[in-house]
Amino acid sequence: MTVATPPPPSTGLSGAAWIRAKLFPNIWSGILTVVLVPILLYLVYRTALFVFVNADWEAVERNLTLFMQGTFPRDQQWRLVAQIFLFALALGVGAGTASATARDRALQAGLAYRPRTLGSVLRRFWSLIAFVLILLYFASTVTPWLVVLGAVALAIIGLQSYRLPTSFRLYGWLLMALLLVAGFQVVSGTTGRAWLVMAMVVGVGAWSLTESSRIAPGWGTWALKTVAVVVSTIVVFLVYSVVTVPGVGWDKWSGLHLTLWVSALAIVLSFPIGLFLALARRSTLPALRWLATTYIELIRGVPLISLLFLGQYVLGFMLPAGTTLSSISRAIAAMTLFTAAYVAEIVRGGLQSLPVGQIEAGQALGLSTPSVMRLIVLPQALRAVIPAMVGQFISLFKDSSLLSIIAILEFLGVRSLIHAQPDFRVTAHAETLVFVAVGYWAFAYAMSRESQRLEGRLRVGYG
Amino acid sequence: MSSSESMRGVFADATRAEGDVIIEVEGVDKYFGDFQALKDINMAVGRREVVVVIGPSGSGKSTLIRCINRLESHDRGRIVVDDIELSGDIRNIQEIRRETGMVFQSFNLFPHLTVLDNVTLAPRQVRNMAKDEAEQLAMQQLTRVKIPEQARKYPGQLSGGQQQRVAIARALAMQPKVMLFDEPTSALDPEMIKEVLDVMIELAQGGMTMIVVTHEMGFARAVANRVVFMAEGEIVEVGTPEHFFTDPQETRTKLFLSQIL
Repeated sequence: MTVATPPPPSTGLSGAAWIRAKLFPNIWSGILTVVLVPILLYLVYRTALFVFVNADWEAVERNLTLFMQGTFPRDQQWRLVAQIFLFALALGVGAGTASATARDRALQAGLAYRPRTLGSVLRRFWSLIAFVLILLYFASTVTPWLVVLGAVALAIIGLQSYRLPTSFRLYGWLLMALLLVAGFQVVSGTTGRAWLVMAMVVGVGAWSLTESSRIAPGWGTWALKTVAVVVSTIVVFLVYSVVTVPGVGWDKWSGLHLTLWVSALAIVLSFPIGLFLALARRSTLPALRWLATTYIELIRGVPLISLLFLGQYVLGFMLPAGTTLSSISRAIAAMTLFTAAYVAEIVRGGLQSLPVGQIEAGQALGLSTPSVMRLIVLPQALRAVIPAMVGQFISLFKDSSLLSIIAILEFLGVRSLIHAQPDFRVTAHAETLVFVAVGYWAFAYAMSRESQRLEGRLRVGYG
Repeated sequence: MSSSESMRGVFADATRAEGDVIIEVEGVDKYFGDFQALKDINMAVGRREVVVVIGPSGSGKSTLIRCINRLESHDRGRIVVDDIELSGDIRNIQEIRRETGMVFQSFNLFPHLTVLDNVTLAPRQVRNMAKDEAEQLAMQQLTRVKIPEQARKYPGQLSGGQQQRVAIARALAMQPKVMLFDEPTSALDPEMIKEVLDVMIELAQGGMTMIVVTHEMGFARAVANRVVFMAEGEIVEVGTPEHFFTDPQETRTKLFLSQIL
């Protein structure tokens, strides 16, 4: 029996009251409003005037494919489409599994859980959705429409993983990982060392699937897990040596496709390196600590562009003779090593922010130092630094435009191809720049929004 | 409670417990820089004995029990817990920490884990228990502290008293031989102190060896076999609760008791 309580007094203001309370609360704010609002309106007017009247978007319209995939071989374009489809499916499966996990946890803890609605997805990703709509507006054929519709349909199919029972969560994550690897390899091909990437995913899967809640950990479990990982690795190797899909290596990628991949790879690779450096810098072993400190301070004292040049021209002398690295691999290496130093400092800040009582509680329970680190310190420290970390990754994403200076044709760099065309040699420079800027902004803003959301979500139960 | 009655007799007025000793502290000094926090501490605790340590703040009470599970290292003397002498060796330290549970003033629950995961963490990681077995054990301990229904919640959703009881369950899940309490009720609102003390009293009556640093004199009167009074890093006076509260010998003890009672 709940007793009906009166609703809380409404705090909303009507239009006129809002204007008076927020814009003209006193004389000085009123003057500020009178000065600033016309300036704001004028800026909006000038922007609109450029975008809708003065600008000639033909350069973007005719070169849309160039912006998206650059000099990627046109006869291999189907690979990119397949990649988009596989990633859309992976995204759907991942999102479905993630929200089902969140729902399970919230329900068990007796917290309110609000299911994802179409509205909330639109609000979260509106910048990306707007960018896709701009692309579709410029599209001259029906293909981009089909790709977008197909991707949305596949994402919705993937989202149905939300309905799977709790015991299928692990399979959801594994399916997502497999789809991501497949999406990567449908473009890059399955030759060379590609089997290693797949073996890692399958190995992690085999490791997790041999986990049982009824068996106590011990040598038997370790042996079983090791056998599972070794066998799955061998199977992957054999499959990859029999079935080969030729592909287009990343030294031939360009445009937005390359920008996204370079950023994603540098982010994924720099995180573990940064984590290791942060731990090494706090290590009790002096040699390790000095090495980490020297590395971090050296890298942080050098501009990224100089590291990129060093990667292109000097790295060759430091590698063993005969090693060949494409300039894109070198650029990814330089960006990874650069970002790792910043990630290390961010993580170190998080480690220091943790109350010492947490570590003492772990020690008092008899946990070993590595266990305290892995199970108590890092999970909390990393949560605390999500905003700073995402900020670092956003600047890494934007800094990938520096690759255009070392003659790599990423999203910004393809402009040089467009303005080499006779029609656009002197015109439309502003238009292409604005288009590229909007593209970067759409992704960076979405990342920032997601980090804010994640921050709120992970505070669950922190009171 | 006949065994505890008889022990009271055995340990009255003694800094050295006779017979079945589980904790022995001999001539322990501890420095923080130039400041001497513990001065020549000698005491012994028998199995199933409840020792309450009281004293003004800064008297070294917390430092003493933090030395017993080596959250602090002592600079001189010997500490022996269940026949293991504390040394700097990490394996030796972990062995002792497995046998001693600790409850902190500020609870120190792990906020990123559910109550159940807080309690199962150490049994699974340190005792290598299977998940199901550890969860069964955890539910037993949570029932013992009377909050099994909160198992799936996060610490931040609980009241201070509930959090401290989870912390006790977390320590008990390692099935320790000794429980150390470092001012377990000092951070609690008055109305929550009783629920925590009740759990501790039950624990004492169940025969757990306990060293409790506290300001709760009622608790000391109810369950302590011995009360140890510390001031300025020294043990000033030791005695049974009756003796201690009614007929203290030392002036410093009398002064302290007159201030708090």
